[in-house]
Amino acid sequence: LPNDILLSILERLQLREAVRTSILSTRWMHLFSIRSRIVVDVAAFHCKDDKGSMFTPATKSMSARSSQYPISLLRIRFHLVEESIDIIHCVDGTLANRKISAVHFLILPEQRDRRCTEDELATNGRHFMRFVYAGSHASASLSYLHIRCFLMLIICYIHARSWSTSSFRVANVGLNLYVLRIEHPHLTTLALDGCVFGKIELSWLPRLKCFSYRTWYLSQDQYPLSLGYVPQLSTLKLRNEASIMHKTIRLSELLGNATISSLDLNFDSERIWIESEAPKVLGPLFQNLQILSLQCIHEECDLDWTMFFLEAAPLLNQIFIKVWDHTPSVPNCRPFQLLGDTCNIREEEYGEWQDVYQKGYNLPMWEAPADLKHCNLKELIIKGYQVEEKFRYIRRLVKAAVNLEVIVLIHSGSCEYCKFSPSTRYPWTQEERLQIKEQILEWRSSPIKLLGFESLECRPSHVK
Amino acid sequence: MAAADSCDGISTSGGGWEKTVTLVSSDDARFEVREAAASLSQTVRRMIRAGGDGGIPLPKVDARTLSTVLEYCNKHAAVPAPAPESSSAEAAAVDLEWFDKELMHVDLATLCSLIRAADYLEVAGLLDLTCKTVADMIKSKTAEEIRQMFGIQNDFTPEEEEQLSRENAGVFE
Repeated sequence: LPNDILLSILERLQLREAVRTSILSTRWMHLFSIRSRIVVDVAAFHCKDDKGSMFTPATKSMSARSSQYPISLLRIRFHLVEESIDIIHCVDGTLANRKISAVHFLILPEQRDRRCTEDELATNGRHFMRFVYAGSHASASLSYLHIRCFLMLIICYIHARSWSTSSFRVANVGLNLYVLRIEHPHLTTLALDGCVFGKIELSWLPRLKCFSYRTWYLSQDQYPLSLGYVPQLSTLKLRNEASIMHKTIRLSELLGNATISSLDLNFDSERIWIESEAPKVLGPLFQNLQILSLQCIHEECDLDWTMFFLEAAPLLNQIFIKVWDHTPSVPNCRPFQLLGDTCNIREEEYGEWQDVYQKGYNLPMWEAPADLKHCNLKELIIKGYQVEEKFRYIRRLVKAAVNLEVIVLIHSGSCEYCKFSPSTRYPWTQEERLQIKEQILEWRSSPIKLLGFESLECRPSHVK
Repeated sequence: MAAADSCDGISTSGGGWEKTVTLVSSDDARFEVREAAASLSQTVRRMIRAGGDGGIPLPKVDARTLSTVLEYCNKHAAVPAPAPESSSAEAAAVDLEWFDKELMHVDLATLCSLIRAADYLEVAGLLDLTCKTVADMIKSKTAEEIRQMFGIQNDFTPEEEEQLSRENAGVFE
């Protein structure tokens, strides 16, 4: 087999296995040293009596090997501890000497099996900032940054796509009083997943295309996010399990000048944290909106308010709605909740949270004109469909969206954490399904494709 | 459209009308394939665009290998895009996984010719699958076993080999 194919086989091996191939022959030794993808994971160096002491030397020896061949990907997963600064220096040095097209950092905090205290969080934050400043080459070449925090662990995932020495620097990535302000000339994708910042300010990100943000601190007077100069932003994903103390968001105020094409809002079965707004206000911001996802809307919530999106976005092409009402008792199912509210509510007050969490609180209302017509909506997908009066909502949509082609009605599935499956009133019998089909056809003369029913022919055994 | 020239016929499958193209292997065997399936190969896709008649010649792939590649393409192109997160999407994924597993039940020589074909035809999914399969074969084998498997000549002196494994052991084992 030719070298490039052998290389792509090598790339699919774990580091240790790949190392073993380097003693096969001189050809294989050469192949090993010119690999273009280098992946080092701290977890692979942890064994019973060794806390990964060989990890840093191994990383150094990997990236030091051979200098004339470019690296397409250098991916390192390491801990957010003082000693890791060596890794940063090492990568920074490699970046200065070798052509590298992508650098991935996956940074895990030390406290992985428990929630860390606020002091530890602050320490983690300081370490992270030191890494950013110590690795000036590494952080300067970022085009993808993913920071994830799960049960108080911060995972920073930095991905540098384009390595260039052209004039740019990371300016003002500051962790000050829980405000993260970001300015970066190359970043195209940014994901902050369950992070501990009070506010994210995307001040100047001229290339940013996709931004996702999950779980924010509660605040009654400020928005969790401010969008500054983000002219290319096209995809916005926001997810939060909001209490009554979270500020209700006016999308027109949040979006600033951004005209996005895809909007994904997830309410985690709690209250709807946005306000309905008039098309006159939202229209200019939604002029490019094509895909709308409204996820985990709790069952008690009416759906009629969502019509304001339809009214404000003339190019809207697809609506995805997930109805889901599972507030599990297993703590595992609510990790982000514990995280989001540590500033004001302590764990021992967990029992009192029921008062703070009112699903119906401040529910948006919207009355769309009866003769509303929408020409571009083609697809409506509802996950968690139930035979219920509120799904007369479909009727409203079918009547308004004159060119609607496809309606997909799917069962809600089960909880990804505890496998709980809500016994929704999904139409399981052929008779019910036929009835729904006929009903929808009655509302409309032109044909509409109805999908979803054929995928689950029989009722799962646990659903009554 | 330039593609019209290399389209030989139209077939019905799954109730819809579909364009087909003819591919010709190195040993002159002709395969009539749905265009959607054949287009999983970037090489073929480019040739369809460029046009031409009498079928698309693939001088680097023999009939036996090509038929396996096309089996893969037909299966993978047949899958319609199901609704996101739906259970039919899951079922289709499981089915494909089984199909891929079965397809990889071949000897190393066949596997290598499949890799070369997937590389030449630029069928990304198949190249990934075959390379992964070989990588899995290498895993948990000693150096000597790998050498035997691939017929690799050990051209290190015993001293060099000793030193290399000592270096590696220091850092990685």
